[in-house]
Amino acid sequence: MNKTFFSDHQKNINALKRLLPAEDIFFHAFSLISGTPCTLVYADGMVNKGLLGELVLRPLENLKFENDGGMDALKEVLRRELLFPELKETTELNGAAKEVLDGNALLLFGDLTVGFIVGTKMLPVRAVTEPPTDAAVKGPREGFIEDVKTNMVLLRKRLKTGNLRMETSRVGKQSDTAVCLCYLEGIVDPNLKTEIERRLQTVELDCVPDSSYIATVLTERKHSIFRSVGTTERPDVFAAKLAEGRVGVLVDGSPIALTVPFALVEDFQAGEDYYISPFMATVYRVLRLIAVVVALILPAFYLSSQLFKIQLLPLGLTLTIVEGTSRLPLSPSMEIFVVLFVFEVLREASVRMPKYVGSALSIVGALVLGEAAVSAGFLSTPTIIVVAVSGICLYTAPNFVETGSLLRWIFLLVGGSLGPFGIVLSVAFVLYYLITADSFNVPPLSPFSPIISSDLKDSIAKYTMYALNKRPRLFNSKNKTRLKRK
Amino acid sequence: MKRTAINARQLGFFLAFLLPVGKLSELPSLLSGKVGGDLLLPAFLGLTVEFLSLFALFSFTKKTGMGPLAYAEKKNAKLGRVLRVALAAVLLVYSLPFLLDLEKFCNVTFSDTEPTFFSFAPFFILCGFICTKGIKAVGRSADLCPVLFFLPFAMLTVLAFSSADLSSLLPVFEKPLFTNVATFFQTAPFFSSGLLFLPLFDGYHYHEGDEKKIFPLYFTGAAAVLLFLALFYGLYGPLAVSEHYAITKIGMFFPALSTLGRTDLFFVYLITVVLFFFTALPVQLAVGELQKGFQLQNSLLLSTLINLALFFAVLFLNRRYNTVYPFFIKTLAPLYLVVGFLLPLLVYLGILLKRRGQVRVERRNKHAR
Repeated sequence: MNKTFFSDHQKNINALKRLLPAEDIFFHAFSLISGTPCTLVYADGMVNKGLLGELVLRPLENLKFENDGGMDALKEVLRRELLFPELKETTELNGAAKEVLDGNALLLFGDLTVGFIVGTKMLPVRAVTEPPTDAAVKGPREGFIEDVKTNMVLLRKRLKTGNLRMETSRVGKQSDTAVCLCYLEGIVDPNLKTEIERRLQTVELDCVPDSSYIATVLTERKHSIFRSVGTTERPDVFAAKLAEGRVGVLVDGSPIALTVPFALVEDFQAGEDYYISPFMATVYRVLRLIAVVVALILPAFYLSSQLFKIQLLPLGLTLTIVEGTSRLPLSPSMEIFVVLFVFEVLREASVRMPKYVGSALSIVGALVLGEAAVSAGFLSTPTIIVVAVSGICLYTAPNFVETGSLLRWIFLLVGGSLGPFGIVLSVAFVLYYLITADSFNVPPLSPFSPIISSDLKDSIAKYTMYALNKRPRLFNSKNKTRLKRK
Repeated sequence: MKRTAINARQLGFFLAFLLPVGKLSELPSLLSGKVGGDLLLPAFLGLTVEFLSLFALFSFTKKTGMGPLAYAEKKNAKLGRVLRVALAAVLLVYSLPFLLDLEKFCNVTFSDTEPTFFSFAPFFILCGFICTKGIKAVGRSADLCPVLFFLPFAMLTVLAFSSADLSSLLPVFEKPLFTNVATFFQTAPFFSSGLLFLPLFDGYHYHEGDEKKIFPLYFTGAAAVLLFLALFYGLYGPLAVSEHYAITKIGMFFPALSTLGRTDLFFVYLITVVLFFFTALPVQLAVGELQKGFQLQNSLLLSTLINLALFFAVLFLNRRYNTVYPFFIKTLAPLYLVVGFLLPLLVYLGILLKRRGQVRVERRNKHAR
């Protein structure tokens, strides 16, 4: 139940102390010249103390005020004296406590039944830098950071329109994290927005440390290995996706912004594709697609062709493999499993380790370990090459790495036990799953299945900007045109 | 515009890129064995019959706004449901020779040695999964088929072209016409796709100009089948009869493959994905019809039970392949033709006569007024 402020200053202080017993909450008591007791409540380290002193405490120091004109007179005096843009009133104790926890200062005057929230929040944030997971040679270098307000500014900088709506709500019983729903009014499908809001309300989370928690809430198929929510660290990409008719979600504390709906083809598109020639963008996308296919099935086909269908390999390669593997202590299956396992371990270790150790580790792992294993007759060179090629190829689509890595293991297991039949069967299974696993009414394989011919212009192929004059049909946007020639 | 489970483009792609795949496996050697170089004639006859059933069902749907089964159900709910269950039974029987073929095809295509039957068993997991999806999924899978079927098919055709001697097809009508017609009847299941069209047209609604998309795409698929048969016979000649599962063997004589390895098999593997979809289709449609017939909500249980039953049936029949296969292909051919060809024609004629009767009555009433 929401309690309101009492008409007794001390009672209000006591009530707030009960609500905010933490040691980092400061209650700074002072009096006006008139003797009216005042208290400033704030969380240590979260407010701009300089600003608070200059714009709040100093003007109040000399304030001559008799509380005989009632609340209206006080408000008038405060408005005149405190020239602070973010000043708001609250009559609720709980609301006031939340604002203090959020980094704002609360000002209590005498026995008034109202508190004044002063927007002096100053949270520690890192600088806006190039996103480490989404670097580009061409295009903007800015990336989202952990502060949602900064991220909103970065977005507003790119979409200077009143149609850009940023609706912030609070999620997380304990964390009370700000979750900001971003969309372009008049472009987004209202049903999509409503559905996202509905899904966000279906779960009461305890804590939201990262946007991935919100992504899980938005995901329809919770056990799917394919993600159904897009992610980006780049404000330019985020803004472009909103302009296509998607809804974006910014989460306080996370530099990863979410976009929905999501189609699998987005994993093969990079932000940079839109800043280079469309021909080159198409070439790069095809390259990524081929690389990912190779990454997924090369180890499985290499193993299954050795075990089940040797005809698949050229004679020369067969002889090389036979020569390399004839004296190995491990079976072909065991060998490739060991190499892939070591590769995954190296990858995981190099990600987790401090950077200065990580580079040394990857050199030791990739070169020394591999070379030593081959020289010792423990592993064969073709297997190491196959796994290395597969590993490199998968990183051409960084957002697909998690899913791809899992699929590669599945294909390898099935290929090793059932041969090429198992691989083809698994591919058929994955494809059939993908054509039916709609999320937010968008099939993951669109615009290929179902075919949306106009959307194919920006799928694996990338047409010129002029050809992409219509928004993607997939998102059912109300405003279809995005480019007009004058 | 009314939203449909399967639209004209998807239906067209189904006819052009998914349906032909069932005719590229065992049919070429069967036809070669019976009529040799005349194999194109019974195939052409079969494709004509298949087209007629497609035309009949398409026209029926165009005139009534719904498929024949939905129409029957609308007129008499009980009769409609009985028809659905009966069609499901026929579809399940119809699926058996294709399942038996697929098992043998997989052995030849994916292994150097003969694996046990149980290594084929996982197909029924895929089939079971597919069966839980409706007609919408059929349409969407058809959308993938231009990539999965057309491109590899084109590549295999190019690989085969250099080694094929098309003069082996001459002279035409080497065998008497009767033999050609009899061969068509003996290979009728491969051309009885009307069985599949019957439930598929339940999910389709006619829109203006759809015939311009659907029929040309059917002819494309039919042309691809005829081209394949011609190339296959051109490649193997009289030996074609013993070359089962033609799609695996069509590209293998391309000279470069001796140094590159059987890379043509990668194209075959892509087509195999389509073949999996095709083989699962009758079962998928049967499950859908049973679900509608018995008004069941849970398709997962039904799909599991049916696929389990099919697994054991194929396991059992596989041991008596030489006896059982001709039974399904030859003996049951009239059943497939009646349900897949005659029934569509009759329902079309029926609706045509009914419309004419209505027009006549309207005219008479007009005169009377």
